Amino acid sequence: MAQSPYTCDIPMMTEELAPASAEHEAFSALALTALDDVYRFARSLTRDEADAEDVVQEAYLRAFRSWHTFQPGTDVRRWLFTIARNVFLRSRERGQREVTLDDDGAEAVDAAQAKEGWIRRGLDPLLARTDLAPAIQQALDEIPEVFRSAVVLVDLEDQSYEDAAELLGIPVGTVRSRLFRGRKLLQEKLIIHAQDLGLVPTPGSDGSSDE
Amino acid sequence: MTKPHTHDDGAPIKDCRGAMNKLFDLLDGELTPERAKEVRSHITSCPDCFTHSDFEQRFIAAVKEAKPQLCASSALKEKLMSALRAAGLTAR
Repeated sequence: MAQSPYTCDIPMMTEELAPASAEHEAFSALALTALDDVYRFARSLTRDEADAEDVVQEAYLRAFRSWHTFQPGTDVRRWLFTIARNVFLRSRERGQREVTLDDDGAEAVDAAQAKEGWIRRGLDPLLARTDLAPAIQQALDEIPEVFRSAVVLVDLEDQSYEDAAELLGIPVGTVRSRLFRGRKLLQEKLIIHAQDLGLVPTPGSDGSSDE
Repeated sequence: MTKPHTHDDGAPIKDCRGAMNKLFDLLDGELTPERAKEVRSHITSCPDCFTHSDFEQRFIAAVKEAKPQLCASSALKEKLMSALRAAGLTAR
């Protein structure tokens, strides 16, 4: 079987340099094995291949310089995600400040719940489809970064609320509200993409399906 | 590693709103077994909440399924190793 271009098992170069210090060996063994994960996370932040590569490179250089601050036994992936996100935020700091959209309490929840029925009816028939992934990825790319990061970390990178909070430097309650908003925004965007892709009828059509 | 329930206000699940406020915590495995049981007990006895919970559960599963299969390219790995070596990395 031909090797998929998406397999992540290209070995790191491990030849040539010697002697290696134990610290550098540890960095190599731990941090570099997480490279694909860090790259994927950087892509979710930047939504651009070249920008993601810049973020990864800068993050790894910082990680290498700060390797002495890494606590053995803790999750190296989370540590690197934190650094990568900080690099990303700093890289766009000149352009804009991070939008603070967190102060959503009960009102936002109520507003979201008012739309629940519409969203659920629209999305429900879609969820069984096996070709939904591109639409979900596109929708995810379009929601604001603060919400996207919460969804990416919890849903795609399997981080607990507590771990995501530590990584993002925010309280757990804020992770919870960003995740809630993020998932709701994602559902709204997904309906629009599903309509664009012809997976669901657009509003105003006669409601008949052409399938 | 995960410490569920540490941020749950512990308010009793009295109605649909209470249950739905805890829905994502439940689906994300962030509740203690006792608390999860309490929320689940409401959901299974309430057709509306059951429908909604089923939808959100399938939605989250679809999002997880959509995880992009992205890898760092060989070019990036080489560039990165060069940069790290220039910064002093001596690992094999």
